[in-house]
Amino acid sequence: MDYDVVIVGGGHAGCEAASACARLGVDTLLITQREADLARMSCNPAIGGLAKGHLVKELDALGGIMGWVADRSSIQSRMLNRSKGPAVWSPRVQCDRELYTEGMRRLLGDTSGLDILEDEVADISLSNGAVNGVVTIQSGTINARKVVLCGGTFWNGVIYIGEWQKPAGRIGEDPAVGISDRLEKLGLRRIRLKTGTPPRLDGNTINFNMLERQDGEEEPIWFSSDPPVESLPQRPCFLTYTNEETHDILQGGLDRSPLYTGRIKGVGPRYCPSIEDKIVRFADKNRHQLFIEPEGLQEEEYYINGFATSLPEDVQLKALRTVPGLSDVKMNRPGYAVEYDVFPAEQLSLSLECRIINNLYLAGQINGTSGYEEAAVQGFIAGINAARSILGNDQIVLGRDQAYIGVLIEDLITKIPEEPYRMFTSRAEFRLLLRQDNARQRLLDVAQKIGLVSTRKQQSTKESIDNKDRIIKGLKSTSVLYNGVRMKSAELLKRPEIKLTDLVNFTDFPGEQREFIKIHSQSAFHAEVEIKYNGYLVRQQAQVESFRKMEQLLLPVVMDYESISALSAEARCELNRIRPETLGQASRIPGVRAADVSVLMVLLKKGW
Amino acid sequence: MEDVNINSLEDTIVALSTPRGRGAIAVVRLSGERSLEIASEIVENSEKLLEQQTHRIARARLLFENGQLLDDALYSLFLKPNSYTGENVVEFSIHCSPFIIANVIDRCCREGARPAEPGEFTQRAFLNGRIDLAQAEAVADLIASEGEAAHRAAISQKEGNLSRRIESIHDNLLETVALLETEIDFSDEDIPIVDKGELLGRMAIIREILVELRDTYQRGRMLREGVRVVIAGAANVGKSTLFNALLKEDRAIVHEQPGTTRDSVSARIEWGGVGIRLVDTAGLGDHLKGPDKAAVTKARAEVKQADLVLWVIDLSESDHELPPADIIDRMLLVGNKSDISVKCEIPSEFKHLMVSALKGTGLTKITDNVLNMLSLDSNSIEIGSDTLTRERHYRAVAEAVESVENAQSALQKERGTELIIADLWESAKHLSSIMGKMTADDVLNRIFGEFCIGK
Repeated sequence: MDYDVVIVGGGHAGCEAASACARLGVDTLLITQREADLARMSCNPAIGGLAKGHLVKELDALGGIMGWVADRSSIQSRMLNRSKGPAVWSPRVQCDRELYTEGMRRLLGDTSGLDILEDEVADISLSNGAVNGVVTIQSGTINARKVVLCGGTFWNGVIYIGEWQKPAGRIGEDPAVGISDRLEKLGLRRIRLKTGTPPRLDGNTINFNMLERQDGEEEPIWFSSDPPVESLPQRPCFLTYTNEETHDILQGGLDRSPLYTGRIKGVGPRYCPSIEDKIVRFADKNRHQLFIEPEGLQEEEYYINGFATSLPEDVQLKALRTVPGLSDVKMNRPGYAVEYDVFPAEQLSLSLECRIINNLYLAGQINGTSGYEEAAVQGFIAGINAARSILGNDQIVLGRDQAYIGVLIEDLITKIPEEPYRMFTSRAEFRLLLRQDNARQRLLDVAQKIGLVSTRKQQSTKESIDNKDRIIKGLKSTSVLYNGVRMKSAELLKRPEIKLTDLVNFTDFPGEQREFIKIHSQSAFHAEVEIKYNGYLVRQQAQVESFRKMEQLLLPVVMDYESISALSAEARCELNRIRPETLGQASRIPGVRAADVSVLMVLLKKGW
Repeated sequence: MEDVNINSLEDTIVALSTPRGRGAIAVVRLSGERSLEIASEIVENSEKLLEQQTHRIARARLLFENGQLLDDALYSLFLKPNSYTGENVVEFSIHCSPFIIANVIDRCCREGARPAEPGEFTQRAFLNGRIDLAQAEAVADLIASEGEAAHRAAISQKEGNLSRRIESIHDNLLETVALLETEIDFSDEDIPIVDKGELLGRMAIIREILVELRDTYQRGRMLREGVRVVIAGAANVGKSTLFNALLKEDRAIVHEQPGTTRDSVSARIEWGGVGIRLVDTAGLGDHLKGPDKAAVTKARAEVKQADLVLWVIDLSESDHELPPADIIDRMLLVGNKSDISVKCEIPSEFKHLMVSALKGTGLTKITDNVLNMLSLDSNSIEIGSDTLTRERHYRAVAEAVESVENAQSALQKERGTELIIADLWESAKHLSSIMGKMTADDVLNRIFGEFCIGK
């Protein structure tokens, strides 16, 4: 068998990679252990959320598929942070887990040029230091010009529940062994990370009357620019809390905890601690909030967000039963921790191609991230770059000034992986410009270059930009009477208390403009944001300009930093390890001090 | 692989590091990887030098290439990284004769050293992380400082006091940012919202410290550049007599510029450790004939630029020229000729004193009053140990203040948290530009262009 690109792993990264490659016109094979588990939501049944919602919107703007599938399995949607400014609003949807997987399966199944193979990859085949295929257990060697690895938590995965442990990628699924060991033998650096998931609860055993109900928004919120005509029936989430009794029981199980007895060596995420971690580290807190989220339309199973744990099963159940509403609860499945192999992304270039082995791309959790969205965007970038290099096109690298995706990939490569990496809005230094609502507009040029977004959609994005400009121009050139004073509409709109929707209803607001604004509500919103936050946006744009100057200073990739005695010892070591592509990137490496950046700058000036 | 030109940083450099001119001792400094090797080639008993401990001084006989004695000298050894430049440094203290200096440098160069560019020692100290930008600038100030007080401010800055103070404000800012970020990135978590009053309190403190620092600049600039004290007034009120009398009072005249009576005459002197440029001007005033237009224009320009004007009136005349309104807040009215009968009353709204320039009475009062008015008396200077002395620093701090004020007003108006954070970040960025973090290369270029020091 011969393919242009072989994708190994059918999780969120693998599915995006496979879809993108095939649609770009290269012969693509996706290899996964079980086709029925494609794009499986291994943890919480939700897509999006703070900063992650930005990633999904960007992915959609570039031609990815996650948002499209999520919209079609959404059973609740919310815009988080709505009380703050629009830059940090983030959409999140609760999904029906099975519908999500099915939707992805159907979408990939309908993609021409994409084959899906149920098999396990045990090794990669190489010639002259470059990958030229994969070796599978059942089908033998499959030749490929490019290979994209998306192993998730499967590489040497070990699952822990109390004193019980077992090699597994997810509970009930075998780990992938061999390929990770092979990569290490080929000279890649490998570390262990850990993550965890809470128990799944039987919906028939929860007393919902005891819980605080949380509904989504009436008006559905969509990720995709191509949403379904009708939304699915909506389902509520619920809120409850642990108490002192819960904590006592959890405390009593610590002596059998794989975390606290030191059996788990991998580092877990600080932002998503297990419940046992919470009661130990925040001992003075007498309760912790728990979200009970439906796993699907049928409401047969619930996910208990905030209760990730690897304590013994009996302790999990006993503790849960002290929580209001859960006194008779049954667990369909206990919570567990999983420890897995990660190849720190410093070994990749910004295109996600491996620097040590040619024709090899790595994406997703094996690069040290956590989260479906973080995985998906990497899969997409790795996929399009693998395809582009076959097609003879240059690699796509998004900048920190362009997209959260750019921030994520550069952070992964530049920063030391101390824990699984999750996206936060505060990681994006230009976040006022990188809103979730303007993803299509700001990424139009890149989307055009990639070519996965239809020309019709590109055209409509272009029109929306023109419409926004026209609305701004109109608001700047007309005036209205406000409290007896005549003011330019745009000036009035700058006041925090004045909204555009109110302004257009002023009796002296020009009727023609009013109509235009009402028809083009999305463009009108963009216009409003640009006017309201003009001072901030102009300043941030200026920062982007100076940022770009630093990004344009290219550092030689083969430079031996050890030979530059003027650099601090730590900087020499870190620069040699990470090999930044620009001076800007170098300046963001921890351990590279300001003086080191100045040294590099002086050297560049001296004619590097 | 591209050819990387880093030779010049690997060179061992040599230069005279004391001022040219007369003196008993001159110091020639060698810095770089090969310093010891080169030094050992020009001293007798080179084994002794190679075994020498760091930070010790020893006697050495420096030799010509033919083995004849060049100078009986001392050398000090500073091994990396604990030297000024962070490299191996050898300093020769030699007898200060142009002939000996030239030959010692020549000998070093023949053994492989290269003459240092202006400021290169300090540049290396910076590049090797021995000093940060603020400290590097302070070195330039230290070498250029003329008054004792300016010297003290530069020393303090060089020691890193300014950097440390800025760093602590920077930390405060980031701490506040972190508090606010939790509201955005963890809004779905069960974390109590930060109290608005507490945030306002934090920002008020940060602003206050920044404003205090910003306001040291005027004093700092005067310390660094010297204070311009301009003697002005109508013709024939005794300005030049006062000028000469003040010069005579001062024993530390740095130098005197020649000038004609029609031109402004100035001299550098030192009062209470503060460098003063004292300027004498041609007489002003419409009712007087005499001085030509150019001299009056010049005098007016001097008055305009002055940090402080000594406006002289003649007490023995009943009529006198009043000072222009725009200088009143930086003016000391000096009633001269108090030895003759006083015929007029000094308007009491002006800060004033009476002297006799001719007899030399009341002159020290002028000195004390001037320093006091400019907050440059010894008390104020002691407090201002971390004084902003550079315009670049002043601007950065002033902009940092503005950004914090924007954040305060955004919070008052309950605008989005992300906007408040953007303002605080901006403030932090301005501050870190002082310490050389996130330097744009124009900052670096300006600073290194200014180094005419270190030789």
